[in-house]
Amino acid sequence: MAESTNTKVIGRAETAQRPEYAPSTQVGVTTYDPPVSWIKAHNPRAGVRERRWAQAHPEKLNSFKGMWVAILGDRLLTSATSVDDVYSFVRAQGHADALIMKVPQSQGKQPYLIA
Amino acid sequence: MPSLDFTHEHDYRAGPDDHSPEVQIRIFPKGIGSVPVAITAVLDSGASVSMFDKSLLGLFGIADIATGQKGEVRTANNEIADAFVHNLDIEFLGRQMTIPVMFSPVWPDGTPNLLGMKGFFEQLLIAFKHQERAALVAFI
Repeated sequence: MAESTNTKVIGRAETAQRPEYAPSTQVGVTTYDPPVSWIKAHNPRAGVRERRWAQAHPEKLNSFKGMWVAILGDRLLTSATSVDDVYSFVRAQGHADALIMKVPQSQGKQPYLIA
Repeated sequence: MPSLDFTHEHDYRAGPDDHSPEVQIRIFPKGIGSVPVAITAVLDSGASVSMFDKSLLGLFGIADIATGQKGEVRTANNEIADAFVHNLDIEFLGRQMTIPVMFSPVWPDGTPNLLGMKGFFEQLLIAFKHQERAALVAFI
């Protein structure tokens, strides 16, 4: 199975050089930025950095177990018991591409998911 | 030996249990002044169809779950539940797509969002390098 030389790597710190895009240096994520016009319509990295931040900093979320939170970059924007309330804040502040997620009741290792 | 070319690789080691291929998708809430946001979902090739947390219905502008086409879902332990299908716009790895997603009124809030075969995997070539916690993806 061959991997394309044009593969874009999402969420991993290391990757081979991709000549067509300028490399991004976001913490924890290395991707190669497409042209600006494409960014406006698409964002293949939306939520990726934020999910990594949440996983790496469980202590920041300890107070929000069972609640919905919005994260942008490495900032916790807001929390609420209702996802709609969290989104209302995100929309009012114009925080496009914030990650909205529910903080598990228990942090750390989660049960295996069988679905 | 056949070979496949992939255009994207998504590292999923930030997932909840180290073995769930959890990815981030972008969604497009309805309404004036709306902004796109990201949510998490699990790539679930064992699911016939996508199934999302019903808490998210409001974000998709769905006021009444029952406005979707009614169906049933059966879980691995053979429990059957009513569910309703809604066609949703999402973006995965920069590709915008419309996929059928089921919501069950009897599943509890906060259930994981599952991306399943019907309408989602149908639009992809996908392979897992699970030792590296990476999903390789190309769009059809």
